[in-house]
Amino acid sequence: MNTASSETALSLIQSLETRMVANPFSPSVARLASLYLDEDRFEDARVLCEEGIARYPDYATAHLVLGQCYLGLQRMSDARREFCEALNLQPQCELARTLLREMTPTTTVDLPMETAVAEDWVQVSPKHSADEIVTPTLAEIYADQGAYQEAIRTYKLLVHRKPEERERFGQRIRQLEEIWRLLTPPS
Amino acid sequence: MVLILYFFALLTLLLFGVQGFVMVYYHFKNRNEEETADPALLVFPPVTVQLPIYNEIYVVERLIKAACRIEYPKENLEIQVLDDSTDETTTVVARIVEEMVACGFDIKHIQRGTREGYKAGALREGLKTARGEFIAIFDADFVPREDFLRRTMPYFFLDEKIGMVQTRWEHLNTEYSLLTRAQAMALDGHFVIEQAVRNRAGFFINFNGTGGIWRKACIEDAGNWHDDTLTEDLDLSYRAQLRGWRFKFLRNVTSPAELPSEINALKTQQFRWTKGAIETAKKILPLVWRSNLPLRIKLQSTFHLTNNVVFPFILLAGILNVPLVYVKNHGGYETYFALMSIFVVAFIGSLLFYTFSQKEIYPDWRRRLFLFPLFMAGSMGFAVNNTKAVIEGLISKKREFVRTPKYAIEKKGDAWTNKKYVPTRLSFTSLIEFLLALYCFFGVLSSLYFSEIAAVPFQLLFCLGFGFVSFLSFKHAWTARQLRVIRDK
Repeated sequence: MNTASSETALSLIQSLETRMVANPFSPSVARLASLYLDEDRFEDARVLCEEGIARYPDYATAHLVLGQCYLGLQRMSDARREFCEALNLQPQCELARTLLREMTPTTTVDLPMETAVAEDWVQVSPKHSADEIVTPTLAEIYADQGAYQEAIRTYKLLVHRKPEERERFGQRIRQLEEIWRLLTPPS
Repeated sequence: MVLILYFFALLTLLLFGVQGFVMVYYHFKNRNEEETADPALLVFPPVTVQLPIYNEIYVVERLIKAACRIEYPKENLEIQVLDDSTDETTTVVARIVEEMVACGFDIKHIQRGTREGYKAGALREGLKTARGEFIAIFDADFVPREDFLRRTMPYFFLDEKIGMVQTRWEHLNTEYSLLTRAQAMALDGHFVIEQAVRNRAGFFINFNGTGGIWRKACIEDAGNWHDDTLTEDLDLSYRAQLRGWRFKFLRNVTSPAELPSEINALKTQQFRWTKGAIETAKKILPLVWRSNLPLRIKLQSTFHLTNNVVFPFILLAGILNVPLVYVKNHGGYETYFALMSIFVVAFIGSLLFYTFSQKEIYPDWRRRLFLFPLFMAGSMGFAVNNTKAVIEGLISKKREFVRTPKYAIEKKGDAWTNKKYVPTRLSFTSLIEFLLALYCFFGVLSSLYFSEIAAVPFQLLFCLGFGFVSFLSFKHAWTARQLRVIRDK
């Protein structure tokens, strides 16, 4: 970055900062945060985005920028979560999709699965007998780890064991499958 | 005579009950200290994750894969599976390790061919070749979270005298049974209040054996793992802190684990912790008192290391309760009521302690508190088992490190019954517990007969506690035996 453009960036940052102070509810958080990002000020950007999202939880761009802050801070699972949220709010957001796809192979252990994800989600391989571990807590731990297949399988086992919760778990399974499909490059 | 003994027992319980108030006091005193947001991790030095295992075929795959998913630059993350297994677990480990190596992980399968020194021996062996400057340890029943290193490591860089960072244990299968719910309550009390309070007030805390991370230099400086007590974690923690290292407890960072769902397994675990703490107290307390630490730290360390001494006194109080009803009705021992009220004070101390620990971490703490009487009864029911441990600890009886079998069970309807590590031998203590349940039932009837209504609640708790613990011990051992017969056919 040459000096001239960095100076303009700085003055832009300053003017946006002034605007934020004058109006803390200003939706320009995402813009200011992405300027911080360009300067590698990840922590400043993160704090700003988190505050912005607390005010406007459905602000897709803020989620996208926050995801990039986390990437810069090496907080992979948090980054992954924010990109997913951005996509959830704005399915056509190509940048979120690309970033998500790029980070996944390096951060997750890909596990071979007996059942394809797309199959009926109540169907569970008989190999997983009655005594395998299953709680929503565990499923979410797997999801945080980026092990979506494990998470989906755990939820499937849960549905199997607690049919009365089928609706709630089923909804989560569909969300996770959605992410999983996004991440798997078409063969 | 009975009165004097009883008075002494109650006095001891009161002493430790008051400790509950002290903890709650410090909890509120330091509560307003701002919890700082997670500091960011900016450097990534080599870390070794040690996974000590011994015959853990049901959970080992989950453990190793979760360890591999911890977020950290792959080239600086080393994983050591310290495998002392004597069964087919070894084959399973070998297969998974091979799989993970193929995925590009630096993971090693380390077998010693001996169980010398048990867990301490295995950790020491791993440390010889560990390339990490920091050593994280997870037992087989844990599922490390992916952000474990990201959230614990920064503290080592904030203060170079920090030697160990411990996370709070979270429970994967709290709702499995009354037994697991009671255990969750006990552990939460230890972590949420005791560890947090001790840490903030500057008292010594302990590494909980798993779910924590050490600075390698600290382990070495403190003299490495010793195997002369059953609780090598507590022992090393004290030796390190006596050398001036500081520990950090993180209440908001958790490491999820499975609770033992089978009572005879829980008994061996409690036995080990109790006996080990007494052994450590014998070994370490003289060093603590000879050091030039402030008096309050010396006192708190003494309480910390000896709090299992309550069990013999709980047992004593439970036994003496019954004759006392008769003593009182044979002549004017009006002091009896005064003594009873002392017991109530100890009870309230304990109640407050657990109430605030539940309130701190669960939004539905009110519902959880209904379990408190059962939890109390349970602690009383464990008095026989743990008294035996205290006595063995005091007379230094050597005993094998009996690890707690884990079965990968996390919810109701799962079964440990078809697993192969279930203990089948019924110990003599269960019989004693059963007899004590009958005895206390007789006590309840006597109190009712003499209209000593004030004595009834505690006697009832004792009766239920012994009854519950012995009934479950018989039931679980019987089921296990039946299954073994079927399997052997």
